[in-house]
Amino acid sequence: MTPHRLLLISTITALACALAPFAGAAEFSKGDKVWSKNVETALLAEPSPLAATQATVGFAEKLAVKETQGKWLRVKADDAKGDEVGGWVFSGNVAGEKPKLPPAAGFTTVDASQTNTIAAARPLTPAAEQYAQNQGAGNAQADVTWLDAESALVTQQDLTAYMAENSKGEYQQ
Amino acid sequence: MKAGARVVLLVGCLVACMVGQTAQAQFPGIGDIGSAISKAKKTADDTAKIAKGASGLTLEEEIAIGDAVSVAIVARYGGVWRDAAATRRVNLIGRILAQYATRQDLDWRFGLLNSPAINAFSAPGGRVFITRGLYELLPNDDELAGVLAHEIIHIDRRHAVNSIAHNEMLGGFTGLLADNSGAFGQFAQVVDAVADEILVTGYDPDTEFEADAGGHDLADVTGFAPGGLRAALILISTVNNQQQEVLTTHPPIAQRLERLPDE
Repeated sequence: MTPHRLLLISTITALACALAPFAGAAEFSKGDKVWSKNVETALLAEPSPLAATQATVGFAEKLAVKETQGKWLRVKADDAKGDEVGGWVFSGNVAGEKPKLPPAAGFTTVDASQTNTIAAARPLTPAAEQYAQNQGAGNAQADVTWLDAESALVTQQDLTAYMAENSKGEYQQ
Repeated sequence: MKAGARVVLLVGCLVACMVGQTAQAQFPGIGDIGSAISKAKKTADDTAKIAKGASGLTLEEEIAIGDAVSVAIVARYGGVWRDAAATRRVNLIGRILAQYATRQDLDWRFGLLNSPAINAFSAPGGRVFITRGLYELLPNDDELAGVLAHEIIHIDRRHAVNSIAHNEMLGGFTGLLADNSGAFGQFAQVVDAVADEILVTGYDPDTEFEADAGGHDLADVTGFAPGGLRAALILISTVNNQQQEVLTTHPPIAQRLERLPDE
């Protein structure tokens, strides 16, 4: 890499980082309605990934935002359960619109135990395999299969470790 | 029924034919989709149960098309770059971003194409590809996250799936339901048409601007620098596009920079 290119990259990166604190994220405000998007979403006692779980809600539960703190929201169930179900949730774990389909266990690459990730990788669909065969794209099919196996090696623990080490997601300071 | 809606129903049923014959053995969770598809071929009411409203396709159909489109993308772009470390990195960053996308029904996967071109693509069903040329241009995780987040938004908002429903390219598929022997050929035509849109014509500019804005927000909420995509685009603009293919399926970079949300 040439010195000019290095200088350009450094300048761009520095500018991007300097401007980051003024970023306008997809923010929610007090009074907004949001929806849970995972099979189970923990509502925590404090705005921290390490806080105790006060309650859990299922998929596509409507929640009312009562308070915000950075990227964390204090929410309460927006139904008959009322004040009995509430707590803090990271804003990335809820959606501004009701999600249509729940996480489909039959299509996930790895299960929670992460014990045998390669074996658990979802293979190409038979229709795609037939497509590859008919197109004479056997090499491409083998490449995608390799890619799927490599992708399955990245576990949920790996993602959590990266987030904790690099202050991402719920682990942002 | 409007013409667009008829196309949705017909394409949904057509793809369901291909998916349903084989999906049940691989995915017990799908249930008795083969039976459902048989009924769907008999009556318009049953077909409507499979074709889901304006977006058109079921999840299973979306994944089947996306898998085949991915094969087409890999075949046309020099194969997969089998670098385990780089592939691990794009999967780490990509899947961390995807955790905060709206769609958690997908199995998100990220890969590198062995091509010097500067581009990135997303296939229906949760597969994202970035060329080796673009990957090697991006100096850090923030820029890479900006690019990946843009592609994730295309899938999260079903841009390709909606395009299948609305695009005139599928208008000639009517009347094929009675000829099941031609079902796979028609599936392949759907796949090729989607691949052409992704790889050749690209989405319309407004769709790309939407992906830029959504990607900016997704990167930000995840904790990556929201200026990552902007920085990546500025870097890409320095590449000599006379010598390399550069974002040929996207609007001009200057327009994208102008439309990106403030940092």
